[in-house]
Amino acid sequence: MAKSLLIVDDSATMRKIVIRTVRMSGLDFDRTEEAGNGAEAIEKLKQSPVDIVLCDVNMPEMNGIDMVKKVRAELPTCANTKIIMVSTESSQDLIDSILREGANGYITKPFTPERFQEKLSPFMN
Amino acid sequence: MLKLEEDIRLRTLELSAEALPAFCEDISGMFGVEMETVIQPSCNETVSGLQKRFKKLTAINSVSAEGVLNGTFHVVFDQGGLFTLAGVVVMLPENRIKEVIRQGSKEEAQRMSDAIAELGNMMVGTWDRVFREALRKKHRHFKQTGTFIGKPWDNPESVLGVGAQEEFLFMPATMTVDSYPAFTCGVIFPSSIFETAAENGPQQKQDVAGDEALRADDVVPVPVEGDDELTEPAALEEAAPEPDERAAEPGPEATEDAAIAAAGGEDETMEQESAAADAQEQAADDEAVEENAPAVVAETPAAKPQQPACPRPEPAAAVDAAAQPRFTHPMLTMTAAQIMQKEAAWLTPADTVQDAINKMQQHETGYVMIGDGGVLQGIVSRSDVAGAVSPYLRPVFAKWKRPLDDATLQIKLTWIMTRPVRTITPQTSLDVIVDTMLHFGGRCLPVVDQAGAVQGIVTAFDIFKVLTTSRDVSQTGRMPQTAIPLV
Ligand SMILES: [Mg+2]
Repeated sequence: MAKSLLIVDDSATMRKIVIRTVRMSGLDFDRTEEAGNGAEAIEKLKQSPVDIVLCDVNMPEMNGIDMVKKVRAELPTCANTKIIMVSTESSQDLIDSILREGANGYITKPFTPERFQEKLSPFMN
Repeated sequence: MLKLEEDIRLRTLELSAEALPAFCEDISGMFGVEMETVIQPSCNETVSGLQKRFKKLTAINSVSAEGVLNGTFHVVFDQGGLFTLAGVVVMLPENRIKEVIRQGSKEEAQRMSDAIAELGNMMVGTWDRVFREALRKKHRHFKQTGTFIGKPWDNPESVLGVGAQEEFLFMPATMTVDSYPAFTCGVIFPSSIFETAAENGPQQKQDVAGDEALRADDVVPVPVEGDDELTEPAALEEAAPEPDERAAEPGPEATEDAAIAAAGGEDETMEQESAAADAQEQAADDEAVEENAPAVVAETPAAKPQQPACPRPEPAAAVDAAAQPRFTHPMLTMTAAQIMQKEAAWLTPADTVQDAINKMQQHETGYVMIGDGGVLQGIVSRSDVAGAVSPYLRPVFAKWKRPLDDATLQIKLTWIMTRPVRTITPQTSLDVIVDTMLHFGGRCLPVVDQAGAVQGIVTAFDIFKVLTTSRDVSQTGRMPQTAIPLV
């Protein structure tokens, strides 16, 4: 069954790259939305929850970690939403702490369609 | 200089020489391009030396480092690199990328600043990974702190954090992306980044000196300028399988080599001529800069004998010559939409060389689009096929044929197709099409609309047809058959 996706990144270029890479990975989403920071993403999720969020870490206004905390604490309608962080940060300590806050996965930039396939397909059924 | 500081310098250069190719590999995988780099010998450099190397606009990604390195270093790309990489990142069509490389306006570059920043982020991601894997906890953090587009020599203190006369460590490199012109880049390490690292107190010194990853004994020499890393058409041709190497299974590597050789051979002379012209133009450019340059700050290799002064930069391939339309025939204002063949033959990457031969015969064409569901992934030409199949399938060699030769007909097209594919839009004018074919080789350009759907193809033959509609040209002889490449 097709799923819905929200891409959160402060860079419009990176959002485009993510959309293209998702498409190349062969994963099927019937709805793809975009947000430019964590606060905007929270607003979108309140209005309409999605199945999967791909979220940058470093963003102005509300960064990715704060966004994960808020979604998990304040948005019960998104209890089943899977949040995958996408970031250049590759320190294991940081990745562990983000996963502890409630993210479901972590993809480092630069990424490939194969990497998206591998990380997202477990959440597609 | 302290031994420890020198160790850190050497180890940094060594890891940087790993990080740049790793970055190219990452970008290749991410954007489906072929990106390569050749690292040149590192040296002490000054701002005026930088100006001589980079001349025009540059893009600079500044990276703050914590851990073994402490401070900020900078990765710099020349004008060609700026527009090529940003163009690839924002997925501009190829002819548009060539156009912006040629025009090279600062306004256009500023419009791409988001792409440059993201490129810097991705680069930092790669560098962080390489340093972390090698140095483990001794490396703490790399983070991009800013991007700069312009001429850093106008204000080196604020852009690079180095004085106009100050020496810094510089690791130059050249890069290529697909068949766009080669460009120059490099990494600038201000001296303070090593000093502060080495001065971080006795305990840190002990930690660093005790780390096997940083011991000078283990440091391999910094890569020196190597020409064997660049793949010249001639070298590729040598790599093509010889008829003698008959035991080889039809695998991806052998067939890819053969396909590349077939494609490369076709355009060798033209590329050599073009490279020679580029080099000439660059030499003239170099001279002009030298003449106009103010008194150049003397390089002082004696001050730091462990690091040589920078050699004179290699002439980088000129970025301007490529996309300049050079023709004036009135027909050349026609567009791709007017001359293209609207029917293109299609197969999937999983289909075989035999399927391609059949398809080419059925459609009387020399080119097959490869993709799934109308999404173009590659293109297979008759010369790709000829390069893939065993020459022993030709009737003249029939008595030497072995079963393995027949197996070459079963090679999947995914292994021999040319990718990524250069495409044009229905609005692309004939002069740009001709120029593209002349400069980059390839005799078939798929025409795609804004949504990326293939609307048709333009082949060199279509162009000949347009040009021979002129009345003073008569035709004689029969039209060529679309021959099976084996006979
Ligand atoms: Mg960001």
